[in-house]
Amino acid sequence: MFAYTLRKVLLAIPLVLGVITLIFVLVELSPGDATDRFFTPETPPEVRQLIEAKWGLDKPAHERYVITMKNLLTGDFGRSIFQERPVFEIVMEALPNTIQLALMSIIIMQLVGVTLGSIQAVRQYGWADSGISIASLFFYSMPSFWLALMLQLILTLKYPILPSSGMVDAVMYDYMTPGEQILDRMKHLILPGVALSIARAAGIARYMRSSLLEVIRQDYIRTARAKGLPEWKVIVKHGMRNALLPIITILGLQLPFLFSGSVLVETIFAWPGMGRLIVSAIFTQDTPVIIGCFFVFTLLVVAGNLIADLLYSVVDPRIRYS
Amino acid sequence: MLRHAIWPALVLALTACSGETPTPETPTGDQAAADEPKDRGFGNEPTVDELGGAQDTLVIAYQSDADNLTSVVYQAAADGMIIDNINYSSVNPEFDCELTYGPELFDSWEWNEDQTEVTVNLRKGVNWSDGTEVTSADIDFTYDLIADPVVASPRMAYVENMVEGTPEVIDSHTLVFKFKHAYDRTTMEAHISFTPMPHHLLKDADRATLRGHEFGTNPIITGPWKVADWKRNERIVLEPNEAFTGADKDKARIQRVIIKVLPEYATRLVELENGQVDLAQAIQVEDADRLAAEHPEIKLYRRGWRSQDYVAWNQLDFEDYKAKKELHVGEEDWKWEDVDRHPIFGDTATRVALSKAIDVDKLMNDLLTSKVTGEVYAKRSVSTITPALCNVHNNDIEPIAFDPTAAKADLAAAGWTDTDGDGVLDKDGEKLAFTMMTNSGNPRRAKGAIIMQAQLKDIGVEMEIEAIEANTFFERLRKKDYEAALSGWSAGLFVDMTDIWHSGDKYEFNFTSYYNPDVDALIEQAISEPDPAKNAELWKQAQAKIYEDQPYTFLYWMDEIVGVHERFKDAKVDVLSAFRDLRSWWVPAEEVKYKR
Amino acid sequence: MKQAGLVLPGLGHLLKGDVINGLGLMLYVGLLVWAAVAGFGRLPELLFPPADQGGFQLHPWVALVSWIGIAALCWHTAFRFWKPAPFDPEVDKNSQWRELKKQFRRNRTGVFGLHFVNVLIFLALLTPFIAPHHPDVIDVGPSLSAPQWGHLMGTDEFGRDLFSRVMYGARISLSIGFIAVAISATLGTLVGSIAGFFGGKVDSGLMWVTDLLLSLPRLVLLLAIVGFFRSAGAQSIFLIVVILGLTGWMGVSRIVRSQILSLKEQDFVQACRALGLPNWRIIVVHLVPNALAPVIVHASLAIGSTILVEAALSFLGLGVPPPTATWGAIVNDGREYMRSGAWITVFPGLMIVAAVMSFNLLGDGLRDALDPKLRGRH
Repeated sequence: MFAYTLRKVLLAIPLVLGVITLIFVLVELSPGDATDRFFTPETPPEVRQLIEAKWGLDKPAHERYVITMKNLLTGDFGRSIFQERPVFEIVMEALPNTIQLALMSIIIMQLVGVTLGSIQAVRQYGWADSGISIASLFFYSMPSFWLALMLQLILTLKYPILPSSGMVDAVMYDYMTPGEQILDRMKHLILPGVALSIARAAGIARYMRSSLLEVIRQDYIRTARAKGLPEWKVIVKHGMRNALLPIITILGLQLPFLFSGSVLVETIFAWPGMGRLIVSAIFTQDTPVIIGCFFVFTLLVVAGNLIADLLYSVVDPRIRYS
Repeated sequence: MLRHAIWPALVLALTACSGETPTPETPTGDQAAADEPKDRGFGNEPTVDELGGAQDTLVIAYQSDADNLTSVVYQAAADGMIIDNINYSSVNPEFDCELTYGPELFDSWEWNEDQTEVTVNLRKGVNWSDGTEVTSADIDFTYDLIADPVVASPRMAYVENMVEGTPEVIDSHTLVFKFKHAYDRTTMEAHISFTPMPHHLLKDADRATLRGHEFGTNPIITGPWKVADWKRNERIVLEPNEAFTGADKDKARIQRVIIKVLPEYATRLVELENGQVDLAQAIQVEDADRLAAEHPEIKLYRRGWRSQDYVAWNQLDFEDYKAKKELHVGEEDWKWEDVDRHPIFGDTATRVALSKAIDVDKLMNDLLTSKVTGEVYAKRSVSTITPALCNVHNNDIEPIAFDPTAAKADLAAAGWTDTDGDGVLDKDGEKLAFTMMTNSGNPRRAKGAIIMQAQLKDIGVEMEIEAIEANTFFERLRKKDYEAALSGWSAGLFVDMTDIWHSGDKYEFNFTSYYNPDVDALIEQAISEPDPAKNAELWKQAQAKIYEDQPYTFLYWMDEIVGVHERFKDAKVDVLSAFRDLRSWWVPAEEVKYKR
Repeated sequence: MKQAGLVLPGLGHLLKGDVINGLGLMLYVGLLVWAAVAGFGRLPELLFPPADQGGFQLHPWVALVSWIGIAALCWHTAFRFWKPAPFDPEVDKNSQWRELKKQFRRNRTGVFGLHFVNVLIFLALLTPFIAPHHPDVIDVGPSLSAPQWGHLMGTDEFGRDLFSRVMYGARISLSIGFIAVAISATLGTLVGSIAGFFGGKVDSGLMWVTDLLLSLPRLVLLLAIVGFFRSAGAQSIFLIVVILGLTGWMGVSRIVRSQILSLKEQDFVQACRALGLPNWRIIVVHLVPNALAPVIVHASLAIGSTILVEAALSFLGLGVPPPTATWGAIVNDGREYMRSGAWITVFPGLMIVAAVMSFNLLGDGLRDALDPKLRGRH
């Protein structure tokens, strides 16, 4: 088990290095960067040199590459050119917000997906099955940002039930009781969470449907039925547990897509997370932030894959020994 | 100085020029009942004690987050806005056809005879929030920072004309600023009144990394507000500064100001409508109409004539310009006499004709007029000086009338006729065809370009439109790599046409390569003429000459629409800022929304 | 009964109980009629626009040719339904394709998807006739007016007819989808076949790169690349299509690789080798064609996801530059007018959903047809 994990981790390292190299090359090749804003036409050349030296821009590319790599691995993400703050700080401010959103999305995704998929399996070929299939396909084919816009339009403006932006109520949060605060956070998490997760929920519903269908066909289900257990108990107690296994294993694989989807959803709901950070860093060409973000991002992808692999090996012991 | 006024942080607003004190306008016309609390008038607002009890919170929707609250180096718009509020300003700006300064931190000041030296007396007893008094050491230190190239302050131009760049300290509350020569007094006063930085705290700070100093996120302050909370990209909370040493009437009457960072226009509008924010800027005309109809609780204010759109015609042949520029590298005063003129725009008569063919009224009507009330949120422009500066703006210039027939005749007289019958005028084998570039992401300009394209087509001019990403667009303007451009200016309150209209390659905002020696002379005289009347006369002459030459086709000045919830009385949404002097805004006790 | 199709294609199918194909064909005919009614009156000025309106344009001619082609297709299908083509064993070279087609016909959702996709493609081809206005002309109606008779989807802030813009946007969005996926498929096939055929270090190396790029979600990768190009001042539809193509080949390469791996050991390959055929010939002529079926499935689904990704890029401001209006770009434009003109965001969004749904249905159908064992198990 340990060896398996270790192997997977070791395989992940070149992956991370590869991604960072790719990003570094891309950013290197871009003309100009955020330091341009420090220079006015009057800035004398000595000052220019001073500032460039401060950011390490006077060194040739390959030296900078090595330095960047070394720094990343020791946790030093450098300073943002745009904000003049340690990138680590900036990323650590944004990351928890995105993680909250991702967690909420995962919960919604799993709940909705598993429930709908189960209904579909149990009522295979019935109206519920077809209906949910069509609805699934509909939401699966929808751009997440469009869904976010529609949700915002309908549920925050036409019928103002939910807040239209932010993580917490900007005004009253500080004065709420802890219970109210949690409720407030939940209220703010719903719409972005739904927008982010519905498409994936549809995918999970399909997956769950086929998984449960396969399980239902198994002998032990017939045995349970023969024992005289009520149908729902058969399905839930015996069927679901096994049907859920493949769903859980792909849990880790959902993370990267949640993070990429958050780029769009965060913009619309003014959610101060990593997605917005990456987009604004790219627009302002803030190199250290871009590299820092992608580094964290890749780590999360690797972590997600690792979790998926581990869970899968737990479920299917044959994998461990391959 | 206009160059620096363009700087986003210094975008300033101006009122309509009127003889009396400016008041906010409300198109809703829904007058409050007689017994409802109304504005008391500026200077007469109830004090905190008179209001007693619950105080309200003001929520402002802002487009971007602040970066850095260190005054000498900040660049973001949000930074400037907050710095102004958390610091006791050196001078108190007032605007009535011109900008004048009254005393604040600078208790009094005196100019010498030839306006090259000014002695400033500081008010006593103004403290930093850590208890230390503000003294002239702070001011001296601040200007030292600005002048220091290592700091690379965007405000270095402030000290350009000062002797040694820093003032002379006489005693703890007196100092003298010395200038090399006199120029417009208000501008000089602006240059001496920059927000001070605390000498006692930062004197040993490393200047090269000043931008990264924690002062930028956690400053000590002198003003009526302090930054109570700052969640990046989410919100900034300002609360009254208990250590504020100003007078009672200067103390903040609102309990909190929350600046909500909402980058999306649609979200800001949605939240204004459902009451989650109380103030939003730059509301579009269609939305203003709807707000007026559906939301009487939102008061709409107009801030006029702070920015304009114009069409620039490049008078030089770009290829030749590029080639010749390389020959003259390093020459500060190179003018463009030997560069080939642009075949179309190099000729004044052609430019005037083109201006006649563009219907500016239609542009204003289509782009900036309410379809519901017919209200026009724009004014025809004839100059780069805003009409709000009514003493300096040349109000006698007659804008060119829309006359396509005359345009065609003029072009014919200049040699442009349709010799090959393809619908496009030509001359000597060269077609009257060109590309107009504008920056992408601006629907008003995109539509304006399309309208102008159609109008020019009617007289046989073929125009293509190119929408370019903003940074590249400005690059190309500065390099003069374009033919025609639809662009805009934000107007400053300081009159200085040098950067835009003085010839000489070093003035990088002279995009059109405009060269009129008379105008050059007028400008040079005006910027060193301290007498306001003579000064104004010179500027008016310069404006008239420039308008005759039509280096731009001047289009229109625009009004900004700001929406504020009407429970805030005596809101100052006109002079200089979309929300000025926040400490004097108040809410009657019975209308308070956010009770603690 | 079946002859009824000669009068109205689709009628024959309906009367014989084949509802989906019947309705599909009748829908095509409906499109043709709509195009004719809306456009033939303007035929002269569409085909021969006067010089001052831009002179000769290719696309109305393309539309005309397409109209004729579609009509021919419909009647041909109706004819063949009445009198099926005679069976010729000689012609039957590629049994895998024939098998696929037969299975596919049985798959109702797949056929449904195919018809939908066809409707989209035909709409795009016939746009010059169907769209009442030129998409870029302003002030054809009052700005920001709601959907009404003359403007089926309302107008935008410039007074442009939204329906026309969405129709023309279909051509652009679909073209981007098709071309980008074509690039991905070609590149992926190339990489996958080389990796699968040669194995060893080549395989490991190529697969490592593939996995590297696969691990990052496409949007994030695109952000970095497009962002880089944008800062270099280069932003064009051509560039976007190429970049989309270059970021989508990884899935295809894995599919092709696994196909090649299993095909490699078969007898006919040994026979080719024994004959002394050069490697490239074996790959290109013998292996790849047999590996293509799953690629087609993947491509169909990929067109849908490419349309979504392109819309996302446009939304962030990194997509095709104006004035070219893809659906995503129109949605992005409409963001500012959510309160005063919500239809500007609603309709293109719905079109995106419809298009992506069609390609998903088609892809699912193809996949089920390819491996009937998989039906009910995804």
